[in-house]
Amino acid sequence: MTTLIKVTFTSTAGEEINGQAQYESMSGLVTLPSRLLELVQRARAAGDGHALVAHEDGYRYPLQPVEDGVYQLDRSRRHRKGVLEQAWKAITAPTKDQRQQSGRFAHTLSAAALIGASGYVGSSRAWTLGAMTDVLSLVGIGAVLFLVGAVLSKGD
Amino acid sequence: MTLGLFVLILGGAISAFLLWADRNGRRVHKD
Repeated sequence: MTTLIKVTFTSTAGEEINGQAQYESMSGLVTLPSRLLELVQRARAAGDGHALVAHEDGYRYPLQPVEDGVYQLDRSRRHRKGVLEQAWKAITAPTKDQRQQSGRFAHTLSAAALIGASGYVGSSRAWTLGAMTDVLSLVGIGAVLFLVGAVLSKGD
Repeated sequence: MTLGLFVLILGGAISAFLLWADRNGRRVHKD
């Protein structure tokens, strides 16, 4: 059965172009459309290094040339980012959406700090220096976390 | 006093880390 598969062309010239290609699931052969084939030929003519990768179920498969315009999907060299790697990237280099979610988390913590401060004020019987410091710390961190959340939710 | 210090240290650390991750994410993803 012939289906379509997403293919990404990248080259050392800095191009990254996505397209769909015909894919024979039985034989694992991928036939590139003329648009992608032109890019490959142009990269070859210019002496630029290039790579073709097919995407399926979150995996990346390198494509090995069989004949002109026909490539073999190499299932033995499939690659997908592991969960730990994805989690690490989400923490250290979050995408725009992940940054917005972190902003919401900061706003939640800000609300929790302000609610905590209100509860403290309502339930404190003696206003010692320690009690004052606790309330001021909660209010201060609530304000700081609100500002941090606002920066993270900037959205661009 | 203890609660105040705990909140300041934890909240400050979370704020600093989130701001750093935000800058790093914008640098890496160029968006």
